[in-house]
Amino acid sequence: MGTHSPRSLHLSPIALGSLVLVLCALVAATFDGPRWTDLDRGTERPPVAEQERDRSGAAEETRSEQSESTEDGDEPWLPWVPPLDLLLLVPTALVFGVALLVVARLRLVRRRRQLTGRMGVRSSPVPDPGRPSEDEESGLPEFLGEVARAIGRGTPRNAIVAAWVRLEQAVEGDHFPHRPEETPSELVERALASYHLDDASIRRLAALYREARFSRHPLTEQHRAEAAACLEGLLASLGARAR
Amino acid sequence: MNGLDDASRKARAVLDEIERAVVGKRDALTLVLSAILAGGHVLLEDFPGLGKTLAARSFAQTLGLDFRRAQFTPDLLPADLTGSFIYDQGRAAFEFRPGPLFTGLLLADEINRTPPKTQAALLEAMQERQVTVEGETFALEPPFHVLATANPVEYEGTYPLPEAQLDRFLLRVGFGYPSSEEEWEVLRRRLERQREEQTLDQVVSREELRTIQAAVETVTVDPDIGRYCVALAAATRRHHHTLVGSSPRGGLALMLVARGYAVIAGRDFVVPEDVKAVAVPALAHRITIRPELWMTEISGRTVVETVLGQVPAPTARDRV
Repeated sequence: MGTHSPRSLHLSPIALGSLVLVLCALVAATFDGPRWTDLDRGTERPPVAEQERDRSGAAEETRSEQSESTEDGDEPWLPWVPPLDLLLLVPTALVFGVALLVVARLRLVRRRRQLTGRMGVRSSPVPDPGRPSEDEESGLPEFLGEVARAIGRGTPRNAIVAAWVRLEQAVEGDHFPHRPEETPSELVERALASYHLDDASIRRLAALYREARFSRHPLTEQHRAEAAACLEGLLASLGARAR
Repeated sequence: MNGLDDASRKARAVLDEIERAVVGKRDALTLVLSAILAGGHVLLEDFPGLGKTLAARSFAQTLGLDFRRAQFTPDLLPADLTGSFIYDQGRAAFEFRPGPLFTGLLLADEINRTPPKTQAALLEAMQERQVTVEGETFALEPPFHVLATANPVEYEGTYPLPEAQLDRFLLRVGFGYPSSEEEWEVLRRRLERQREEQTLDQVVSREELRTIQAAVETVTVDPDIGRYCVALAAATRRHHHTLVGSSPRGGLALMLVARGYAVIAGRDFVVPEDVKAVAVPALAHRITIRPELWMTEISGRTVVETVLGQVPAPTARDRV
């Protein structure tokens, strides 16, 4: 929660975009395009009479210029190809543009994932925990048997709390991680989806645990007996599955 | 436990009776009743026509409370709520004529339609449980509860409640749209009733309600549950989506409503499940989201749901 500020993340694409613009401006500055003065001169149209007079002379000048330039070797090999600096500017801008789009897209995807994760309690379905491995499920009856034998020790309150905690530890595994934010009811739902457990027994055992853990009224041997019966029920359901 | 057993039974009977009028909203009604049992006020925020007024009237009928309704309009004045001194010509003296605040259950309808001055007068009465008019203080006899309604979609001509005043409400509850089956059930019952108004039986008297509220005060709250409430409220303050998180009053509200919720569930102790069940309505309205997130789906609700999925719940692992 709140370990980093989102403001710095917001600024990074802006900084990148500014960098791209500066680079484009620098490249554009090196591009030796037609001068404004030349353009102006080119656009100024001489009077028609002068045009007529100059036409014959201009044709001769053009021929002589062409012959001069051919002699000097200044004529580009491929005159229809844009200048080299323009050729560099376009792909550079394209590369930066694509990079910016990719970064923006990645940020959007990451943000959506974060939001989905944060609103998961309401909108995201709980991921299927899957089934435990054969070893894990086959070890559970033995573990629960130990818990059932130990429930006779100590006060009913302590015995029931200890039984529940050991049950929590028994079901834990690679496919069933410990979730500290989970309440007993949520753990029951997850355990029922993951293991072949008797629904009524585990729900009743969770209720007895809540009573033992959070109440202050006395708990009796009847509560202990009920918890023991719940553990037997869980063992029976696992045994039936094993057969 | 006998007193609490009796309180639980009566509380569930109240809900059963209200469900005759308000169809399919058991969870929302349970939350509202939990807040009333905890001695608080509730803001019902939802679209028009979802049964907010009906629910308020039903609570008043079943709980044996005097019911007054104040329609909050832009021209409503504080004196229209508190009452004022009127000159009695016969006695040649001013006498106090109490306003609608002097009741058991006040329905403050469309509270966000009235200017802040009148809102403040109501919210002060809610907090202090007394009103002062012309320098004279009048106590509001308990039980005194306010069920206020607000329309969350209309902004034109409304005065949204400031955060400090929203904090006075123990819960903010939304009813939500009914399912098709529930909606048909509403229509079916209306046809069966052959009249518009719905009358419910009184389930408890005013005194019995006070007895139930006293019983709620005896509910056990384990210190770890109390710390869990504090941790949830504090986590909303640290969340990076929040500009202002829940105040300590939010943690207190969480614990108080969870006690009422436990009593309705038939327990004399609070469990983490109670806290989680009431966390969103108890905390979400106390959270201010950062301005840059206003146009997103992030809200106080999502912040509370996030912290519920992060703050460790009380456990017994350290005790075994």
